[in-house]
Amino acid sequence: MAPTIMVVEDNPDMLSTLAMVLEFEGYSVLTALNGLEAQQCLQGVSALPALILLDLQMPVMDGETFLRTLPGLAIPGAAEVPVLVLTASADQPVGVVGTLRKPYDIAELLSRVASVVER
Amino acid sequence: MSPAAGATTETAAFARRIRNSVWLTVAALILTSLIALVALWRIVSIVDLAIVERAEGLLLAQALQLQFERNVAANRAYMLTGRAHFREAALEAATEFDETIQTLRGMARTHKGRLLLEMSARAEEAHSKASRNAMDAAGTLGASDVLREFESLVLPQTMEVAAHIAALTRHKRTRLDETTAKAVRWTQLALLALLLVTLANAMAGAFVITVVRRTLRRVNRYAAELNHAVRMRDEFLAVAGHELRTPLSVLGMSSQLLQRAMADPKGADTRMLGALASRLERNVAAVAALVDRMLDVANLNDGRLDLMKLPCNLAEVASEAIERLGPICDQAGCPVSLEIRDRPSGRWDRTRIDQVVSNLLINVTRHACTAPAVMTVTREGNWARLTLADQGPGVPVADRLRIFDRFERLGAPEDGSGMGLGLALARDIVLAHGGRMWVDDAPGHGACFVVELPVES
Repeated sequence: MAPTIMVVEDNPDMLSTLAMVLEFEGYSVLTALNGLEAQQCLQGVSALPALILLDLQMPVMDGETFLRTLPGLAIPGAAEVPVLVLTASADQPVGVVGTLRKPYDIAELLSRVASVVER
Repeated sequence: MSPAAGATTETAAFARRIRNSVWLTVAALILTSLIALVALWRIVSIVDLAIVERAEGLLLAQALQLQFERNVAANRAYMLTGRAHFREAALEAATEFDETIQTLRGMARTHKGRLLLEMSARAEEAHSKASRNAMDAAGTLGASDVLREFESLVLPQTMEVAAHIAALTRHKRTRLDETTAKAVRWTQLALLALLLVTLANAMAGAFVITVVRRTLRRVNRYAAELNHAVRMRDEFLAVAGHELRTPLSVLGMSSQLLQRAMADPKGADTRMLGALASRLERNVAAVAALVDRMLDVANLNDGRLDLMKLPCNLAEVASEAIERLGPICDQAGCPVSLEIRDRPSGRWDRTRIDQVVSNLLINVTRHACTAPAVMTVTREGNWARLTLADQGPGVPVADRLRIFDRFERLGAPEDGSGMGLGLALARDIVLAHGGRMWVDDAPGHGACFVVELPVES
């Protein structure tokens, strides 16, 4: 069964492009437009995703707030899901496996995703 | 070193140079005052010497008179008594008289003084000679008739010498009085000059310090403005970069996805290719719009905003803008309704006015996306007025001018509040049309942006 990857990104075009790239590569994809939507999605799924691709600057709930509040949601195993941050800035928040700076290409994205999922 | 840090260093160096110059100026002024003081002291000393010399001359003239009187008295005593020591006393007084004459000759400064002196000396010589002759002629000493004869022979010369000495003494007294009066006058003038120099120095010093302080304040203000401008520019570049990164990422990945799909036709369907194509188009448009806004700002900076003014109706522009951007406002949580109370027209550049209205709507989606907003179009006298009242947090009074400056944002640099260009551009466009734009409190709470354009007369 193909690993599931969650993409959290407020730009609809970016979100659907990332989803399309990952689906084209054979992954199952969960999408959310902000941190709050992502947390609600995680509470509803039967199996947690193997990786979360997370944008930092988003309306409603930004990426850093999502990361900070995730452990308090009492979703078993959610806090241990690896997170790869998608950002335009150079900052990397604490507790993530890596950062992918915009603009990035598909090869780089897939390589980073694969390195985390297959670990 | 960043330009801002460079400007700060340059300003600090400039301020240091100015401070050094001020200290040098103050030192020069103090030195000038000291020199003036020393000059005054020298003048007083010279004047003092002149007075002492004149007083000495007067004293010597008076001594001359006494010496002559001693000489005359000793001669009379000798004639009366025939005692030799009176004769010696008379000779001694005559010698002292000669010595005093010699001293006075060395001190004589004026022609009149020299003349009176020589006349006194010659008269005294004549007197001495007359005295000797009278003594020889008088014969036996000790008789009163002898003295009478002596006196009758010498008296004219005695009177003449006394008169000359008296004239010399008067002359010397006059000279002393004149010199004293002159000394007082010169000392007063010198004091006045010193006072004026000190006053001028103090004024020059105060002027220099005032000018320098004003210059320093101006330099510091310019430096602060420069630093602010550089900081704003840096933030703008950071935000512009950030805004460009997202559409560029979409463009990059979509084109790569397209290439992969074309390489593997089985993996791509028409729907996917269509979605990719429209996404490419949207993001190219987004990048183009971003670049257009940056160019607009550059043009406004250079004063190169060309306006194509044609008859235009504000209500129509507002309707079209809301029709176009309404869905975005709805999606952002701030549906905008339009109230057209009047349909004012004017000669405006329709595209630019549309840009103003659009920027206001975009601004609402960024800062007041919590409740419905109302746009109204009215006419107030000779002004066509468009207002947009939202129910967001409003704009603090202190920020109501600042938000119309370029690169200024109410939010943090990277909180998604835009590049700080929308309102600045809108304000510049309105001003270029001879209109005005400001922000006020909305009824209840929130902000109310107001645009006024001159209507067609």
